[in-house]
Amino acid sequence: MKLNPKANVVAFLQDVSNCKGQVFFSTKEGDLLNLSSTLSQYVFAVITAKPELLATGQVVCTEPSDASALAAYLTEED
Amino acid sequence: MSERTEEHLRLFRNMVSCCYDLTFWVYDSQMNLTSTTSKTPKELQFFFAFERERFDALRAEMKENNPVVLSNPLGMAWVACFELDPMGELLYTHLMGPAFVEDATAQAIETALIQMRLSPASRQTFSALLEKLPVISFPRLLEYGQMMHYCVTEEKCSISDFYYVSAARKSFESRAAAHASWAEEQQMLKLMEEGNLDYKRYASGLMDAGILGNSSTIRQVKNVTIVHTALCTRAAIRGGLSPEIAYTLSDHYINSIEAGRTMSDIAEVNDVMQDDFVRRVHRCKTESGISPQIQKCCDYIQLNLSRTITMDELASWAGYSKSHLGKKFRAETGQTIKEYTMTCRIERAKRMLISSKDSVQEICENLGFGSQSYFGEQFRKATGMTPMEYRSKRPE
Repeated sequence: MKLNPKANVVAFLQDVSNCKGQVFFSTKEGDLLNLSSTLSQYVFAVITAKPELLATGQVVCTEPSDASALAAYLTEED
Repeated sequence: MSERTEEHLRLFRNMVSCCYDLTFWVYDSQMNLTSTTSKTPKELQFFFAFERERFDALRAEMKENNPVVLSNPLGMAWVACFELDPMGELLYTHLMGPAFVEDATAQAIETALIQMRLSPASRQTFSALLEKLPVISFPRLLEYGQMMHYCVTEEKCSISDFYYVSAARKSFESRAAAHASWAEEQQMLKLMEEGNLDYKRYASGLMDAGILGNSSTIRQVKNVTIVHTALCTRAAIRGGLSPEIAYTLSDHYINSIEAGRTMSDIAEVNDVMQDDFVRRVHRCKTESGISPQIQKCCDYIQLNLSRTITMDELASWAGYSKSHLGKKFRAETGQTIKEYTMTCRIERAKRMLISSKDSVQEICENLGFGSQSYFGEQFRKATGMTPMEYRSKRPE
């Protein structure tokens, strides 16, 4: 799943912190951020300001229920 | 914004820019950004956005129009000042920052970034953003906050008028929790002052007393423990412990804290320190039939348990002849000096067996027993158990 470019990133990360499992952000360029880490959250937020970096990114949840909880912020892959 | 305020702020920003590349932001009464000097506002805004909820909560509670200092777990700080209309309604929020208040923090982030799985583009983007942030000492940032407040309100304020929004999120590299409450701290110190031996049941201690500075985790814990030692020292003095003894102990414990290499080393020193002070105060309060000179001898013996103390030394310390000291000591304490010294060594050994991970051999050497077999023999005579049995049973 991709992050919706119009999503509220801060609200998204707040909901990530409530997730049961791990939530990762990965890109084809080789980024792999565990969004439960404080520093990763800041890096992720800055990346989302760059459309070219965000375009190839995927949000991956280890728990299926977390994917449902974050659905409002995500879109299906193209 | 009035022309006058705008002119003041323009001059202020230009003057600051002579020294630091600090960013300024102006938000309207709904906290919509109206202007900024930042060249990368979209990225930089995120850092402030993470702290918005706590900032807004503090803003709602503020009674005076004073500046606010805001910090985040990355060691960045901002100062905010508020421009009000004549009726006291918010017109604009003027924000200055972010800036690092310590160079070590910026370097620590760079080190942490190296260990993360980031593409070159992402790493470059984030690093470039951080490199542009100035490093300003905290006192200087506060002074700039005072000046900006004057530009906006034409009123002077002092640093003690500032409000603080502390970082609720954990530091990016530490596990430190929020500060211990004032009430908990006061309760602990009161128990210390009373010499209350049940203090552990009522107070959790201050080892998780939070963040003091923006340095590494172990440095923060050392800082907090050193401050706690100083507070316990003063509480013990108020409780009746002689200042001479209290400050000597304090020096010893602070040196031990500084020498600690791990969190558990420091926790151990903290536990022993608290226990030591409380017990000494307790003794001061309960052994009231003892004269000050004999009490001085008792304190001297306790400070020097690791070596053999001669009668000459003690007599000189107390200001008595050796024979007079011996008789007086026994009359007031019920024990000879030798018996008292052994009692103290055994009591200290019991505490060390429970609160430290030192081996029996190390405890034996630290308390001047001479040999492990002698230590074991004396310990069993006093307690009915060997040191290892005592440690494994951990009696209360």
